Amino acid sequence: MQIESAMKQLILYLSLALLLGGCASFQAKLDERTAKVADAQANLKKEEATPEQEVQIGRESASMLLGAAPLVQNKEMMQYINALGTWIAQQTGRPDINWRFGILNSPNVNAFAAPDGYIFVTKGLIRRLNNEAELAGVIAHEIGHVIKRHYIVALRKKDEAGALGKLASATVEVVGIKGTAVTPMFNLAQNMYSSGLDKTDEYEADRLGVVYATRAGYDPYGLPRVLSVYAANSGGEGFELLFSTHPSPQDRLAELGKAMGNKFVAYESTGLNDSTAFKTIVTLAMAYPDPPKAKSAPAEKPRKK
Amino acid sequence: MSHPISPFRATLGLLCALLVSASCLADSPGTLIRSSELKSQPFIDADALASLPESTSLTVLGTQGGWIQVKTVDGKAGWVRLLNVRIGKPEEPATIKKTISQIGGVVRTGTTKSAATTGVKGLSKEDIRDSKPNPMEIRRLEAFKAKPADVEKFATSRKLTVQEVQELKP
Repeated sequence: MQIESAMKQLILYLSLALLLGGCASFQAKLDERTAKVADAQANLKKEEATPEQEVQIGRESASMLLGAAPLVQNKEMMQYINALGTWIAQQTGRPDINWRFGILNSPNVNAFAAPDGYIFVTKGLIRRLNNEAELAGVIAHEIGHVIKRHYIVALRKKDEAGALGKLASATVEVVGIKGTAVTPMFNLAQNMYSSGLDKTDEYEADRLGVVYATRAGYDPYGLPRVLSVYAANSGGEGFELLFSTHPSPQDRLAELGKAMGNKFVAYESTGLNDSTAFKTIVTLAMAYPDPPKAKSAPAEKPRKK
Repeated sequence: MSHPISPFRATLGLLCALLVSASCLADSPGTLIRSSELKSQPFIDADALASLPESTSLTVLGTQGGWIQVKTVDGKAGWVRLLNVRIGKPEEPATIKKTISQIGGVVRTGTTKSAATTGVKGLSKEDIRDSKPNPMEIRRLEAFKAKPADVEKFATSRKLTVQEVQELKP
């Protein structure tokens, strides 16, 4: 649509150019328009992915994250995170997305999203949080990344090997019959998740995180409180990947402060802060053992000798 | 004055502030990024103990709601708005940049196959680099998708009420 209107404008400019003939400044304007049309086309290509491609991009990204850290094998924890996450996702205007939530068995503090509705938080993050409103804020931030398609755009930008172009032609043979083959898309996801998103994407997800969590009935200051914990732990053990892939929490808080102003004071006393279920989940996360550090072996149960 | 936070939740919050958030935040240095009232309690209508100017140095004790509990250099303790405090030492921005570049350095060494980060457990850049596709876990994840009744129960058991909130501008 953007291109159509740009094309219409271009045709208009061309007709005018023919009428006026040889006007230098007009020519410059025309060149600028042509360049803008080309830009718009490039941008459109960058951001576009068919629903089928988005499913595949999401699955391979999630498969990569789960290959790096498996899910906790605990029904209560998994059901809790899915109920909480889905409740928040229902308040975003995008209940149509195939939302799935998981707790990764990693002692490090982080959260991830992938296209097509995958959201992960680490066991280490849950251990550090004080209440359900804080977890709601983090999940809502990740939901924001999915809704604004930040990962799709970032993957396009990083895709020097043309992995996304090869997606459409990816057959069972390429992906592997059980999805165990390492594809160019898988490598692209590795690159993307170890370098992170643009800081403007993070700031946008922070603003959306506050909004979505508040809509879902939570205390709006959950996410800002988590960021203050991050700020107090800058450079700390377990925060390495988080800090190398995100803007500083101090800057994120400053940006949120500007955007939030006093708009959320009214929700502060009415929003939910905690639940007894959250305390149970934290206790479970505290006691949950780290995965065996067997390289490249996906989620094998420890065997007794 | 009746307050919507139940005694149970208040107790939970207090316990939390004492036990958990204290361990993560306690004794972190902070600076006021705008002048703020120091309140006796974490509420808008609580008594103001002092008026603190911008750039006041503080020690952070904990958080509650949109508030942060602080202590001033001259020993005054109370609550200020969370988003008025920049946590970390005043020279922190430079320190953080350095920390991140140091982390970057470690990772670069890591990707050249030297064992610079041996002993790092959990989800690190090395785990991502060494990851192998894990379709089995994707299937496990799918099995936990929340059913509408679970979500309904989650919200009603907490008396969560949907609020109308507009998206924020930067």
